[in-house]
Amino acid sequence: MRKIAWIIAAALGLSLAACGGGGGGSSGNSNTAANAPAAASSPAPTNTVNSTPNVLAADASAVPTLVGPGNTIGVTVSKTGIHNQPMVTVTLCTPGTNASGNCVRIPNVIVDTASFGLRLVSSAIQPSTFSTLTPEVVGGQPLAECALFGSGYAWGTVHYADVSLSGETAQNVPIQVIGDSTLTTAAPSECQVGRPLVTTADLGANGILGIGVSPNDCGLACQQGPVSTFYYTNAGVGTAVPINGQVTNPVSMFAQDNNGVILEMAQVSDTGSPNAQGTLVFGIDTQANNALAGTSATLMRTNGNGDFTSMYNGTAQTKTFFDSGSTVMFFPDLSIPVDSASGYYAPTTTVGRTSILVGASPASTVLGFNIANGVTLNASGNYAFNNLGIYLTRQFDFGMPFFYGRHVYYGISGKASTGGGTGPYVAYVSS
Amino acid sequence: MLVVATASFAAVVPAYAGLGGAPTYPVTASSTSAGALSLGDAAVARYAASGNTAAPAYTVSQTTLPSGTVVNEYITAANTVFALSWEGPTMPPLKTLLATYFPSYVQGLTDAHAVQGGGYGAAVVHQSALVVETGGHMGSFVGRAYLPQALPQGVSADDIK
Repeated sequence: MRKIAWIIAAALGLSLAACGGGGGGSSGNSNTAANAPAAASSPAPTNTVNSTPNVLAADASAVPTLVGPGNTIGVTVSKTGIHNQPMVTVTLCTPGTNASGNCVRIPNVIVDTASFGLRLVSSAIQPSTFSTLTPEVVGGQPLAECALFGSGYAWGTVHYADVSLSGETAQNVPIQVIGDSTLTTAAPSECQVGRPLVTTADLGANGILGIGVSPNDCGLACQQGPVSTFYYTNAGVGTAVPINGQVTNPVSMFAQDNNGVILEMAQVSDTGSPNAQGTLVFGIDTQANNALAGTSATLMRTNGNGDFTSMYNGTAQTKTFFDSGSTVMFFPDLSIPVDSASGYYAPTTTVGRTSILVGASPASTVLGFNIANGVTLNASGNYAFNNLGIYLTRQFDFGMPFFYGRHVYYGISGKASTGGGTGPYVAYVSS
Repeated sequence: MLVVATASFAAVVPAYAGLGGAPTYPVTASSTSAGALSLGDAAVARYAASGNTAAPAYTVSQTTLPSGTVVNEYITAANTVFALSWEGPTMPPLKTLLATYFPSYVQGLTDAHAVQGGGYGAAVVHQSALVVETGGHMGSFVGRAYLPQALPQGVSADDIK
């Protein structure tokens, strides 16, 4: 799922140290209030959590495989919308033409390894192509759906399309079309969880390519009956949708190389880089360039949505995941100062931390990462960062910073590879 | 305003439901329909400040939505919701749950988007009267929202989970 790393302070002003002021909240020394990370403007808190010296993790150093073969496509992080936003170009064609009819190339589509399905903004699809994308109909009614994200929602129609990515082709893929002007009914109230995503400006992109471990965005529950916040008729009435009509991860519908993906990003500078390049590889253990078997990869079995468990500072984080759609590391660490205005972790000097991937194969693995001063990074004018983070509790999101210098594998549920077994699983190599 | 007896939560009826108002979901012993409860087996748990169990400072009412998402409403002794948290496969209906605070939340997201140029996923909104932290991803969401100025005595944000 796409995530962005922004913190806002309302015009009324923000004071984390005074959280709960005005009659409630913490007592005692608010500079060390357990309820909020200390602001960077206050003296840096004594690191009482861990008295050992600060040890920085070595930067990951794996190099992306070359773009060229038909199962590869270039990925770029550059000055488009927000930082750390990996983008590819998707080719969209009339359904059922083996991706040859009325094809249009749509650039600046976000690579999102924690969501599932292709979603494109209507205005980004040229009308001569869009008019040929058969609307999906269920029970005689044109189908619509809400796609909910953490702080935004997309209300759109569902159409069939042929999708090609480099040399790979999928026919008759159900995709979501966001901001379709033919959808005149307002989004259901339960879908309105944040900012409405209607235009390319709202998204900061032309679309989202959700290529995580789930083959579709709902599954059996939505086939068995209407499920709130998923599928509706275009009149806003909840409806069941058969699994093969649900918005689908296009990779799972490729004729070959369809058991997963590998996202491989070149490492960037520890002070940020203007841009970054990488390769999105289709298939695992299906070609010479996508081996998992025989590598020293660390592998985690995941649940159907890609989550696994890690230990951080003695706390189990059952929602741990690798998410290329998150622009920063989102995780809870009260020992790292936070800039109250932006919300970024802002230590005076870069700090090193470790997470323990408890269920990893072949063995439980210590995964090191660094967090630098996010205020400095954000002011640098760069767009690719490997050490940017934000405080967030009850989950551990290894966002885009984790991907630089790594090959990160996603095994699709129900599909198998020699090296990974049957998905869902994730794996990575760091060199 | 009536003084609320410690055993009763119904003496005062806020004008609306949602954050800052009355609980959105019924507060009963069977509020939960399914699922493992982080609060133990009780669907409703009463919490006291500093171990003073005779005078609970707040109540947590847990409700499981049909999708499987669990919503916790943190309720003062005066029957107003000062915080909520969620975890599960779908986002909870934040427009309903944040109630009069929802427009301020969306404005905060919009302002941040204008500055940053992107974003629709995890976010943290810190305003003097409202904090919202929303995380996770499609199929696996987790988050919380609270009113910093309405936290009961002795309660901190760490208690909201």
